[in-house]
Amino acid sequence: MGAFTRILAHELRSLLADRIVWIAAVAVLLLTGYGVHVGARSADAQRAQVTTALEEEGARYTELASAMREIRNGTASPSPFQDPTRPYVAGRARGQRYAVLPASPFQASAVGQSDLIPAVVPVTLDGADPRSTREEIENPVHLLSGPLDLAFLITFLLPLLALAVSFDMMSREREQGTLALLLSQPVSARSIVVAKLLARWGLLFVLSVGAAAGALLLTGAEVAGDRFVLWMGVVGLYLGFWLGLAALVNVTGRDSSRNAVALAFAWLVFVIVIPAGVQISAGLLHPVPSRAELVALEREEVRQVQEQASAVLAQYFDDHPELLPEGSVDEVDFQTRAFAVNEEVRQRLAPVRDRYREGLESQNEWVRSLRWLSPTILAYGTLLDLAGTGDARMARFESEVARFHAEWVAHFEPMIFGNRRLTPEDLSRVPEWRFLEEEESITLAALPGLLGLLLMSGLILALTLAFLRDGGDRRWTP
Amino acid sequence: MLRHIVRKEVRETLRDGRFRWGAALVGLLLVLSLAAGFAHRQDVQRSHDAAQAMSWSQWLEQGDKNPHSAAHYGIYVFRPVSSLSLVDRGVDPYMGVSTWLEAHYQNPFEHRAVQDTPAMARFADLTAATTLQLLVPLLILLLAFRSFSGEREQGTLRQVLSLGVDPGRLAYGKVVGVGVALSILLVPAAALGALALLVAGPGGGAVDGEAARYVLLLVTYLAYFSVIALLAIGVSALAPSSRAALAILLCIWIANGLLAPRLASDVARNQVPLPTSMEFQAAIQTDLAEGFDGHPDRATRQAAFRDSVMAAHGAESPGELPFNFAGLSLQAGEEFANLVFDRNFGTLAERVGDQLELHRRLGFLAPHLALRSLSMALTGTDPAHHERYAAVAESHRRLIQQILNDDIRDNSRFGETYIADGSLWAAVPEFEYQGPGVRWALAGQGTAVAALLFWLLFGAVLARAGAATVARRA
Repeated sequence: MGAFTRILAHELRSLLADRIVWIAAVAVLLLTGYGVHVGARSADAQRAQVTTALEEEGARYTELASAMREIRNGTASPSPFQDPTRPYVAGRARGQRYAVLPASPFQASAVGQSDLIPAVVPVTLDGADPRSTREEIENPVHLLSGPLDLAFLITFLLPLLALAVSFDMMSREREQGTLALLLSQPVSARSIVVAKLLARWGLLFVLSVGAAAGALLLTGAEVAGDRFVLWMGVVGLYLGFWLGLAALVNVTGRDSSRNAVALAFAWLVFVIVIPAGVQISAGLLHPVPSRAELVALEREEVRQVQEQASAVLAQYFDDHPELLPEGSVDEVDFQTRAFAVNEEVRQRLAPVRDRYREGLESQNEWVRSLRWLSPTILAYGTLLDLAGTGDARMARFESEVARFHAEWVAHFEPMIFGNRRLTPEDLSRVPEWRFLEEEESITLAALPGLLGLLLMSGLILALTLAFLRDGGDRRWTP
Repeated sequence: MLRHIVRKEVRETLRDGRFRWGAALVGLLLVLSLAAGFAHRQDVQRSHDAAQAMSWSQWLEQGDKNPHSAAHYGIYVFRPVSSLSLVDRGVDPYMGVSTWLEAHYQNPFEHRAVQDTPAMARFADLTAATTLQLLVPLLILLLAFRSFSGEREQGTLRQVLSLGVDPGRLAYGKVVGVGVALSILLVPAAALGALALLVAGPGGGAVDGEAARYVLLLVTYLAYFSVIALLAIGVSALAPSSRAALAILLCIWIANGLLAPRLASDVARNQVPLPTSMEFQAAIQTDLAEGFDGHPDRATRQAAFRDSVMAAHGAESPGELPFNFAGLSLQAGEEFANLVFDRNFGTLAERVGDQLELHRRLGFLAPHLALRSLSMALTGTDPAHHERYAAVAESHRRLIQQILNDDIRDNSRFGETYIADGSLWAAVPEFEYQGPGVRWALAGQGTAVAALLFWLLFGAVLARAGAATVARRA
């Protein structure tokens, strides 16, 4: 057995003999179990919400078909506002479909944005927007606190645990007087530091990944294999960064308590200060206007368009003469007018709505370009992307909803202007919602984060080893 | 003697590089977060004011129409933003910004600002409040964890005690020493906050008595910092070594500041479940259609009302009545709906209130929960302040319905087309909101105040006991 392996084995033995390590292990197991439970519960709630909505939609469509048959048979004659054979009625609340965001196969690992952005968005002729759909009822203080999910534990607490077992990895040897003994062995200072790092990294990695895997298995949460592998990569590299940082501080030759305080500050800077700075600057540089403006503007546009409703309609039939019913524009019924007004308002407001989307996109862009400043931003973003609850998937959901809504309007538009009546058979031609997961792009999206973390931990390790170039700094060696 | 202890502690702290770095960092964050909070508050308040003025002029200029059409057109109101939110934004980003006051329905508030932010925003939501609630306590811990254990390890503790210093006084001297050192950071920050408040001005009327609220806010944070300093010094005295003291204090900090708020949410959610949005809306619709608590269903209700009005006036049909029955009937519909809303929204608000009271009770286990509740209440950014605003907006909605329905009743004939003009819209008073004072804000916070006092007492006992123990051991 080489000297290196002997040191490694000894380190592991002494770590396992430490009562604190065992207490920490129990805490990790309990917290991880709890965190996975929180994530799995939230994912299950989302699944239930989606199922309820789709069931309601199915039942409504069955009811719609029979109502339409009754009208065709002449057994029922509802008012024009209740008549589902009119495309304007069918395209709104009576025939609305839900754009739903299914829970991802790894959602139990991070709640992310999923408790803020509704997963069920009704799509009607009037519009569809995940960010202005009526939200789920929740105590706002709970939203403020945020969830105790796995992503929180990994990004916030795992670094503290890593620092707790490593802040005195070298300084303690010196303070106990064993460092001189250790360095007198036929083994380089670099090997000692690497062995100590490796022992701690191995222990914490196995502990946190094992706890997460066990908890995920126990809760029966759905886990996609490749996502879990990438997740392990993030955890391993993030852990590597913090342990490397502890080693770097240790080889500068200060005493244990100074190391502890320096590392606590480092934690503060990387986990809290830099992310907050990035977020605050994103808000200041790329402000998203208050939704209050949209509410008031919408009404203003409706008033203006309504005043010119006839002109709007005339313009429309000018563009689509083939849709003009028998007679003249004057005879176009109320619903056609209402639809034309709605469409015109929606188009006029499109640039205003775009300002929200663009504001948010530039904020995301800003955060993405500054994520290299802190491994925490990198790790957190990547963990959310893997769980499918991050900004990227939410933005995709949003744009898919917009696309589906456009399809929806395009489907009903000619029928409304052509003053057609729907038959039960037409219901099967109503556009249906599909959300395709882009499994291969998940891996691609996680790569920059993984590479960034690899780079950061590699840099820290290289710095540490460079410090030990000639057997270590004079202050470090006893 | 106490003066000497304090002077020694302060001098030592100020000479300490850890303190200088830490204080500089926390000070910078405080200034930045106050500035960002100030800019954000002014921005949001301005846009809410503009939107509200726009909505009101839209109401006035909606043109001639039937009053009930106008009732459906309605008015939007926008929540004012407390000027104190520059210190603590509380749940503001998580609450809808506006509601629509229309006929027949009490609408919930919509558009949470947090929906228009990146996922990071929630993770890195650094306000002056989070700096004060999380980072200053961390600074205190890092300053104080060696106060007894370090002196014992260096051997100076025996010397000091041999001078006949009372260990209790020594402990308190150390607490005061930490306080004086910190005041170099916190007093300018408090002054800066006061200045920002003066510049921000009252505006919006979200809260009243800002000065009293701010002073009490300072007192609350002072009490909390004292709790942390007392705990840190107590633990430092009782722990076997500085290393152990630091480990224990950091664990307390994590459990108190990071884990407790999240765990408390889960406890509250389990103890007092809330309905889903779908269930809530369905319950309202069911109550409206089928009645509740002995109120009959809609058709029976309407028929009974019609019969009673006819009988009272000895009329055979609505056309014979000396007023328009439609206005009376609409108002009766509103009044029944109001009972339904009072019942459903009332129950929901009660349940949310119960959850929050649970958070405050858990403040006896984790003082951070008590502090957070008090801080949000004093800055006027807690759910209770939002609830009060929503209630005032709802009573304004009811007032609008009453005025419009009375007009239909008195100025039109049953079955005939009736068009009212702008003078009726102007007869509706403009919505104005007067925020509550500090007494109202604190009314629901008894448990939080008690929890904070409990922790002060506990901290004092711990520090004294710790000092006595350490003196015996030395």
